[in-house]
Amino acid sequence: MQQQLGLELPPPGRWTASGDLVAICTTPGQWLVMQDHNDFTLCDRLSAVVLESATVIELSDSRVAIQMSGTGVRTALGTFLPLDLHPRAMQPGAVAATVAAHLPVLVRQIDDVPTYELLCARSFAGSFYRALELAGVAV
Amino acid sequence: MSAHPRRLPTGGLIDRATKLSFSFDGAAYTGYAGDTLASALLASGVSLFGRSFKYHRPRGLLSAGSEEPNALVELREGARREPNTPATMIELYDGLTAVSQNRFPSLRFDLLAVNSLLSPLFSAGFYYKTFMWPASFWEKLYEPMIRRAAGLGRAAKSADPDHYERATLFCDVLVIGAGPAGLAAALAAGRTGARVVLCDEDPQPGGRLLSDNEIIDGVPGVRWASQAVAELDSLPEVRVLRRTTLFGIYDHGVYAAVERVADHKPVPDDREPRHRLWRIVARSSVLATGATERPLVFGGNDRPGVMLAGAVRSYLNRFAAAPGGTAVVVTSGDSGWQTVADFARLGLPVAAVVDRRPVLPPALIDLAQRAGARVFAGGTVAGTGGGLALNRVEIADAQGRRHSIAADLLAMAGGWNPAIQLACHLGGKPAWSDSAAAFIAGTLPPGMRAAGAAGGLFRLAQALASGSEAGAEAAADCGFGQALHSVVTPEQADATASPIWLMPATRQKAFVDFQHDVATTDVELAHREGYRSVEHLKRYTTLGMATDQGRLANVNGLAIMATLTGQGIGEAGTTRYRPPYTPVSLGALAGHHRGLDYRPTRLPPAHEVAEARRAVFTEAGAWQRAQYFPAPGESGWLQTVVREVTAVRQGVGVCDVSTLGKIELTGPDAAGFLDRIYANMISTLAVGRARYGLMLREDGFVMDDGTVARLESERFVVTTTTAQAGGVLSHMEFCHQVLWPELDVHFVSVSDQWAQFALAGPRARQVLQAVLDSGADVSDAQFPFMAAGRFRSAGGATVRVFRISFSGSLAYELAVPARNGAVAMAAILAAGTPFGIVPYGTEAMSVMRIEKGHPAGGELNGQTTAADLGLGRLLSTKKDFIGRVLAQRPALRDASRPALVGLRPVDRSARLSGGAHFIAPGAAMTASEDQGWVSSVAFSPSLGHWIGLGLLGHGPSRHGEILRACDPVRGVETLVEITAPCHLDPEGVQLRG
Repeated sequence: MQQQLGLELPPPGRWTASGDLVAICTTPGQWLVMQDHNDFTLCDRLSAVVLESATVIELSDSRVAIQMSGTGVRTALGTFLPLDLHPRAMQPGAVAATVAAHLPVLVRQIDDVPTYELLCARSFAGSFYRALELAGVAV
Repeated sequence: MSAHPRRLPTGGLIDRATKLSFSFDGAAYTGYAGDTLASALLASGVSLFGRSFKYHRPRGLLSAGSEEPNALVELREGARREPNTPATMIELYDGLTAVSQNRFPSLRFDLLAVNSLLSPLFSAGFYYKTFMWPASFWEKLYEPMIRRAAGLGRAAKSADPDHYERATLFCDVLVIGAGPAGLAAALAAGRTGARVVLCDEDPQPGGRLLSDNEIIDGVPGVRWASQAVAELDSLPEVRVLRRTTLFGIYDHGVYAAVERVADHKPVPDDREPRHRLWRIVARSSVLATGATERPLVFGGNDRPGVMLAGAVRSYLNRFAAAPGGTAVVVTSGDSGWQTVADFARLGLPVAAVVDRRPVLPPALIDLAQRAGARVFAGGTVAGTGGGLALNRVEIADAQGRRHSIAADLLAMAGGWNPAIQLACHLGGKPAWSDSAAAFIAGTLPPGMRAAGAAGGLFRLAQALASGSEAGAEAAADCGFGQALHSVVTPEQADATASPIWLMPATRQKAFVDFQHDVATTDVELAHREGYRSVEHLKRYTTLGMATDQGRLANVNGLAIMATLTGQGIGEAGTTRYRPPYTPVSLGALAGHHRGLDYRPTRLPPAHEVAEARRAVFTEAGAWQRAQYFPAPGESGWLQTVVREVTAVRQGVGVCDVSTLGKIELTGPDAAGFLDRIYANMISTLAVGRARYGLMLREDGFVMDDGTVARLESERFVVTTTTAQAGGVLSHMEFCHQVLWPELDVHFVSVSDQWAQFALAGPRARQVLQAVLDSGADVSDAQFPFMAAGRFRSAGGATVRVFRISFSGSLAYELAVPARNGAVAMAAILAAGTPFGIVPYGTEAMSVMRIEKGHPAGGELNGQTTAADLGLGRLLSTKKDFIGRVLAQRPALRDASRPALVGLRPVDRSARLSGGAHFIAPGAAMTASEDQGWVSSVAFSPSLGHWIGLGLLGHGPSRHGEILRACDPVRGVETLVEITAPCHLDPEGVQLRG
């Protein structure tokens, strides 16, 4: 991955990026790789790189992602995520998996504006968006 | 008469420039910003606030805080009406309306006060004694009558128009209570840079500093508090939560608090929640909750005008309201004398001071002289007089002589109970401290320190010093700053004299629990009748079981019982304290989770297509699934379902099965892993083939079933039932991470990745051919029953096709990436139109699986074994798997266990009833004659009559028997014939068609 895609796979709880690719370590030895503007060729692209050293499972359709940014975002997300988003506890590069408002959510901090990306299962998209809307009422 | 006859001309923390109008029991009043409803009414000359719970006795203010047991009102009107709200906690706002509770027809004239005369009926244990006979009267007469008589306020009847919020807060140091100890702790911790949260139930931090005349560092206590808060507000990592009650402590440093964000406003501002529930996660904490003053127990101690001495000072100093014109003070120690001093300073008359101690220090005698008060050293209160308000106090002096003193206020000071309830939520037991003459926390929860009065350190200097010390230590525990050396001097013995639990008995009732009307006589009765342990005492007398949770009552009640049993109070102990510390609104606990937001909803990718076809939806867990698709002119669901089933059996239908759990597994050990997970053999499955898979729990019962397809030699995709999707994935994760970490297998849920459709019916192949790329060969020879493969759609998109059938007809399941789900469903329906395709829902699917005798929800109930379901032959003998050993337990192999059978009505026109029990003809319909039950029923259009599945003892050997299916719930009974589970096409001809 590093040689051919320039993507250094991160340890658990972290994410890394290179070019249009982002790798999130979700569990030891397992990574969720995402591509900006996915054209649904990523699976083949990765399979060609990893060959026998790993297996690739297609998940391009499985999740929805929402990015939230701004000075009020910690307050808003404080009403949704049971996570410590304080800069002393979580910085850009960090990933956390949690359950918020009964939804399984993967959170990735992108920068210290702060900007967070939240991933949730596709079938929950409506409820997920609604929960974030309600969280936004707090700010 | 002035509108504020009891308002002092100067002083107080009220804003006299901001006048507020409000109403109580329909009468108009005014008060000032900074008032509570209690203080504003008091200043307006009101002394009667409510009627008591059992006896409807007139009651006035007892306290000035959240422990108030008497002055409970219904706040606001209509949908925002909130019963049982302590007037002492209601911040006054313009337009506030409140009414008193528990009176009929009016507060001053209460017909039910006659209950006082019937008090022998309402004594301890009255529920159990009076209303036992006749039993049939209980539900219809006694209980409603007692409830109406005892009702404390009415809940709102329409939906709450406000919204509530839940939020999480993390910190290093949580300081509970913002009195002098809490402020000192927060300052000490906050100055180190630690993340600090300070919370207090009051809108204004300061605690007793707001109510007592104290000087700290040369400035008045009130100013010291506001300076401290200003500094805390300026520290970036410190957060001060006002109007926030910390009400529960849970494991691992989790605390729960409720912030009354908007209760002090007529309605919440735009987007503002009424309450916010805080889940606070703290690494360490300081308990600075202060103490609650103990009432004294004497005859007539509940008459309006009898008030806690500390509360009297709150009204005088904080609210500039005089609770009475002429006071008598009764005290067990120095505490009451502070109130005497305040009266003297304000020039208000004190008629008498009763101090239990026979000898008093000269300084106190001087103080009494300055206040113009007679002193009764060694005296007691023998009773009170007056109707709806106190007008005299009967005093017995040290020699036993009676003195009747005219007074409209009796301030009582019985010592202080440290507010240690929170410290006991994790099971810590309070310990009696002789030096503090109170219960203090025994073992504190992990990471917690007690400071100030909460720790039994009642003097101001001790509170400040112990607060600073606890705050610094708590921060040091988290790696901030350094701990202080101890600067707290031990408690001096004279701070509180020994407590008086009970003054000599008189003919008047002496109340222990004001809110629940528990008097000393009730405690004595409980003792006589053997209910002597503190937990029995509580339940027998309801002592401490009101909404105030016995904060004023418990220690006195337990102490009286300890005296009666001859134990020390420390030996008698206390009842267990549980959350919440004060009542919490259900709205705050629910947060946003109400109505449609009660829980998340999952929609399958082709949901919109089903919506466009006017499907009726049903909930399957979080999922919305199409239940059936009514056509114009159909009269009800049964007609629709019959049409859908018939279409599938005779033509073709399509059903969205995207909600099934789907797990994709890869890796060299994937096949071996599945062999251990499933009861049947998986590793022998060829690439491009699928197989039914049965999964047992470790205890040998069936966990779930589904299909396993081998896409490549090291790639499988398995399905689970919709209900068990999460459970099966967790089970697999557990097995891999804990039991067999050595296996090289990876798996993830792909439930959301793939939309999946079942295409079923004799014409399914033709429709499939039409939606796939023209080069795809799905002929029976190339793609036989249980084949699995990858194809391209006519539009070139990826499709996984599995020739599996739940319906029993020729069927395929097509899986497409979720983004194509809606398009694919529409394409299948379009391609199927020439073949008469119908979309069908979960009802038709269920009918067809019952026709085929496939077990599902009613049979996969967690209590059935593979053998019970007729699947015993699937258990492999060639390998080990989860559940293998325990499935062999004799009781699980017992042939008399209820096992799967089919059934049909003997009278073919009869309807079957799900949940009916099998009873032999002629046997009584009793539990001992019960032979099993009907687990699933359906009307089979193919057979033209009702059919069912059931679980029947010795079932497999009883085909052909006639039994009664009795449903006492619906009051029906049907004669049924037991059959094999499979009702239709047992040879599977249609399946392979």
